[in-house]
Parts: sequence; C-alpha cells; structure tokens
Amino acid sequence: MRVPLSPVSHKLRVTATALGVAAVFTGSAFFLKLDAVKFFSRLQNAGGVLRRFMTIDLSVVGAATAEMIGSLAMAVAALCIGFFISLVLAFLAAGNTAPSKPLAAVIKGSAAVVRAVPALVWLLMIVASVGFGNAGGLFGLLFPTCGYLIKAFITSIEDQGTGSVEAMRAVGASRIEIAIKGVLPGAMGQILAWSAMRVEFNVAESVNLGMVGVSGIGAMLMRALGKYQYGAISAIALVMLITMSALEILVNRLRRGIRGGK
Amino acid sequence: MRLSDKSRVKNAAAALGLIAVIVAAFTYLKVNPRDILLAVPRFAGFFVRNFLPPDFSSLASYIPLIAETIFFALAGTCVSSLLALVFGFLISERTNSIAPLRHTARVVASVFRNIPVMVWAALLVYIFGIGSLVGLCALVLGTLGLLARSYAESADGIPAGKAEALRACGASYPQILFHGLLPEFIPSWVNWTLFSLEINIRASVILGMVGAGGIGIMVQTNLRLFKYAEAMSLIIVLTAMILLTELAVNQIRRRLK
Repeated sequence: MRVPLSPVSHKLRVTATALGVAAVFTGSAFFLKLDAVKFFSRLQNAGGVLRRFMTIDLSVVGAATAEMIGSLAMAVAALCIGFFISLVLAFLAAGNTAPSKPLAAVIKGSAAVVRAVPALVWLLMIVASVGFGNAGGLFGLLFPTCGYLIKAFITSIEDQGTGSVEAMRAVGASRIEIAIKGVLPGAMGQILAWSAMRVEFNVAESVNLGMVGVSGIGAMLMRALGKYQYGAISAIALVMLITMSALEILVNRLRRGIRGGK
Repeated sequence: MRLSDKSRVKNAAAALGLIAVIVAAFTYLKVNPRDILLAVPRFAGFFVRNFLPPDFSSLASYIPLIAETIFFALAGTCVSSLLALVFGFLISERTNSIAPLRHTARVVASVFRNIPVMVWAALLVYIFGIGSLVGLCALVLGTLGLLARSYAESADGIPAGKAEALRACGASYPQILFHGLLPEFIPSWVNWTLFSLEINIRASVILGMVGAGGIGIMVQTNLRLFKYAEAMSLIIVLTAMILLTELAVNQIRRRLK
C-alpha cells in the first residue's frame, strides 16, 4: 500500500489557502486594473533607465550628506524627547506598575490611536500648524515615536512581573522608588533595544517628510527627479542607501550588545 | 550586584557617547527644547480651530480611492510574501549552500529594505510612469526587503534534524525543501505575512502622496488647499481602517494558535 506523504486534510487546507490567496490577488489586480502586458513592456525600459542612472554627480554629494545628517539629527532628537515621555507614560500604564486602571486604559487607548495614524500624516498635520522647519519636524516625529515606544515599553515593563513590585511595596517603597530601583534595571535592556530600533524608522520618516515638503534630503531628491538630473538622483539615493545600511548594521550591533550584556 | 570595573568603565563611556550624540543632534538642528514646548499649544489651538469638526460631506466621492488603497495593500502583500519566500530561502544557509548566491541575495534584499518605500515609488515612476504599477512595485520592493530578512532568520531557526534525516534516506533537494523545511516554516511565514499586511496598509496610505495611487494624494491635496476639516475626515477614516486591520490580524493570529 502507498502511504501518502502528508494527510489528506492537510493537503486540502494548503490547497484552500493557496486558492484563497490567488483569489485575493486576482481580485485586487482586477480592481486596480493592473496589466501584466503593460508591466512587462514597461519593464523593458528598466535597462535604458538604469543605464542612465549609472553616473554620479559628485558635486551634490556634499549637500546631500549635510541634509542626511540633518535627518539623522532630527531622528535622534525626537527619539531622545520621545524616550522620556514614553517611559513615564509606560510606567503609568503597565499592568504591574499602574497607579490607576482607568488612567492606564486611557494611555493604552490613546497610544493605539496615535500609532494607527501614519507617521507622515502626523508630520503633515503638525507642519500645517506650526510651519516647516526643524522644530515642526521634530514635534511631528514625537507622536509616532511615542505611539510606538509606549506600547513597546509597556510590554518590557510587564515582562518584569509583579514579584519585585509587591516585595518593594511591602517594605514601604514609594512608586518612584519601585519604578526606578525595582522594575527599570530588569527592563532597561529591552527598553534600549526598542529605542535603538526606533531610530531607523525616524530617519526614514524624516526622509519621507522631505519628499512631500520643502526641505531635507527628500525634497532634494524630488527636485532632482523633476529635472531629470540622473547623476544627482543616483548620488542622493546612494547617500541614503549607505546611511541607512550603516545605521541598520549599527543598530543591530547595539541590540546584540545590549542582549549580550544582560 | 556589583559590576566589574571594566564593564563599569564601558557603561560610562557608552553613556557619555550617547549624551554627546544627543547634544550634537540638538545643536545641529539649532532647535531649542523651548521651541518644542511652545509648539504644543500652537498645534493644539490650530488643530481645534481648523481640523475640527471633521467635514464628512464629500467622503462618498473618495470611496473608490480608499478601496484602491486597500487593494494595493492586499495585492502587495500577496506578491511580496511569495517573492520574499524565494529570497528568504536564497539567503538562509539552511536552504542554500551556494555562498556567492547567498551573499548576492542578502545584498539585494538590504538595498530594497534600506531605501524608503516613498523613495522607491518616486524612482520607479521613471520606469513605469505614474499609476498603479508604481505603487504596487514600490510596496513589493520595500516589503520584500523586510520580509526576506525575517524569513531567512526563521529558516535559520528550523532545527536541522528533519532535513538531515531526509537527506540520509536519499531524498532529493526539492523533497527536502518541500517535506522537511517548508512545513516547519509555515507558522512563521503566516505570522510575518500578516505583519506585512499591517505595514503595507500604512505604506499604501502614504504612497499616494508622491502620486503612486491611492488615497494619500487626497489627504495631501486637502491639506495644501487648507481644507483641513475635509482632510480630517479622511484621516479619521484611514485611522479607523488601520485600526480595523490590526484588530482583524490579531483575531486571525489568535484563531491560528
């Protein structure tokens, strides 16, 4: 007798899932009027376009790097302010340290809503109110930063459990003492790792802000794209790519270092 | 617990370095923390005066664009999770023993990942022209880069025993792949695909702002024309859409467990 390699029910489930995914894709493609023929005929342009990109305008590298550093600085500054705000709010909202349940629910709910609004929408709303410029960008980045960090920090704080909190409360420690001496030392590694990850998102968002705005490396790229300056476009894209890749490696190393040091 | 002197020095150096970076950032931006404090009441006042109450009167005319945004995310998730599976298996040592191919795939995925999706969309306009194709391709590239890395990490985490046992019985490479590795990989694949749907729906909202299709363009147009109340109605709808996606994804996850 032949024994099937996998049971029939399993095969049925896999087939059904595959069919479902195919149906979702076909439906979406149909609605979006995606045209496979057009896709492949346009794709043939790619060679010619890429060949034109194979040149670098070195004269814009300096300006692009300066703007990129600006984006990095904005990401770090927003993270720094957001870190302290989120830390305080996370302690007020985490299950094991929250002073009041309704307050915790309000903080968790607001953070979820803040997180659901795309970062770029926050930036645009705030820039509309306080104007472009570094203060506006920085303030705009604070919202998505806090939305993300509050959720992450709450998880890290709740991971510490209730044991040390109850023990310290029993010997009469104040809330602030419990937070700083009882919970923070154990949670700090994770908290720092989450923050390091957030830097990458912040840099990407501040590049995006430039693309819909007037300043920064994103705006520089859009201007070069509008004028078909291939050399400048590839130089700017390359500065972004190198910076973002270097940042990714640095953040991964930091996270590994934090995990190793714990 | 006392830390050894060496790790104490190391921690102090790290803290000093961190403070230096933060001070440098604020100095470079020439932003006074006071300016940010002043921005809080200004934003709150402006928001209450101009964005509220939201004006839902022309929402009906935006429904096709909102639907387009959702379909972008769905189609993008399907394509990128399949392509990323191939990429992930090309990157993982467990599934690909050819080192040069592995490194190439890793570099390509990292290029896809480290150029922001918005920038991809703007660049791809040169190849595909303005329209749906640009949006979809940009979504796929960005997500592909992110997923490929996650898939490769998950593939590396699959215990080697089953594959080795299959190899010892004389199974061919496709047999090892389909019967030894893929079944172990499916739970994390589903998990990451759901995660990418969440990312894609957000990305698809903002992609429209550079003319890559979807509702983003209308958010931006309304803001530019100072029609804040109308923009606010769109923002509320989009936020609800993202929250609902998150909720649905969490439900699916719970049911799968």
